[in-house]
Amino acid sequence: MKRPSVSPKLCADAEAALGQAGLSRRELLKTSGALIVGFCMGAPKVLRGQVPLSPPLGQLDSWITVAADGRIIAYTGKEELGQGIATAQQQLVAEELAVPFDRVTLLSCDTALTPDQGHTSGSQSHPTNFNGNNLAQAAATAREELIRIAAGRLGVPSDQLTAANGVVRSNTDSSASVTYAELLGGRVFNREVSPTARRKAPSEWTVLGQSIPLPDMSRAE
Amino acid sequence: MSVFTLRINGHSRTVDVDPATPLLYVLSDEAGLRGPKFGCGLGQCGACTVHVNGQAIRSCITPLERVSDGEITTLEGLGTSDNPHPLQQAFIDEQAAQCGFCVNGVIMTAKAYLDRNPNATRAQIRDALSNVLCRCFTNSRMLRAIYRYAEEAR
Repeated sequence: MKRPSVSPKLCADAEAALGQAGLSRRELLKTSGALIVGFCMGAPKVLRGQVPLSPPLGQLDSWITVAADGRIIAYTGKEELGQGIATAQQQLVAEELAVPFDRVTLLSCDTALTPDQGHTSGSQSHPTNFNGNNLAQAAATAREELIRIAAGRLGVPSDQLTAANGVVRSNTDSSASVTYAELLGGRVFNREVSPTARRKAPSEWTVLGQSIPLPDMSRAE
Repeated sequence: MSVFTLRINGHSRTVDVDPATPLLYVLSDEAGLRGPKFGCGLGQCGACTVHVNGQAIRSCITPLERVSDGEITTLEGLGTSDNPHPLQQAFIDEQAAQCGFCVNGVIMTAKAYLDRNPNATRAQIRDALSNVLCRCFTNSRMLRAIYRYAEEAR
């Protein structure tokens, strides 16, 4: 059986995705790093001789990018080991951001690009990234932030807008709509992950809960 | 060193190796076949299983000279990515792998057993696979795939 390896594919995807995003993640990280230097003045040992830094866990841009074409790029520190967590995380991001599954590109465990989430072990990836913080909360924050920006753009209150299929649309006037790419494509959120952003209830799920084949256990059609 | 002309997956291949070389090493290093896996190296886990004249053997502890006259079949000899064997397709359909390292041994052991015992019961199939180690949480999926293949092949 042909078993394409996951990591080289992700590296190629990473380059393509970042190119699409129209921004240099290294530039972004430099900016974030400068912020951290400011916060860490009292702890010079951390700074000396090290050019860290994994993207900070509390920053939305560490987890989610809206590419110039509206694709979603998500960054995770939990690695695919055959257990299916890459597929599950891709579903999670698609669900919370209200885009189709295949419009999400997930980048895993690149120390320069993704948040440092420690080990992938002990059945901890699911509780870490699905239960009300980290990747899940970042994706929910991103959806709410896109709706908030859309409210200003469309002149419609946030609570009368719905995000679906990568578009924010007025509940009452279907002609009032704006795509994620138009709202933020290729730019950064520049805000923290919100602890109060609303996660979707299981009753609302359309992507999570579906059985999606593992990418390396699928036959090329 | 000795020259052997082997029959592997229906093709002839000539190798020049120490006659005591484990068959697994010849398949991997000389023939480039990576379906059979090096697991324990002691014939205990089954990851290295291949068929010789239709019988499942553990290639990591089998000296080449003992099987050099036989018809050798590896996982690659069952089917291809584009045209997998029905048993391989059943594993894809059931998504029956986590890391995948033991899958070679599971498929090759099940195939050899079912070729000889096509009407085996599910309990007999489980028993036949009891010496293939690992299988993690996908054990039940693997068994479902094998039952599906066995029952559809009848």
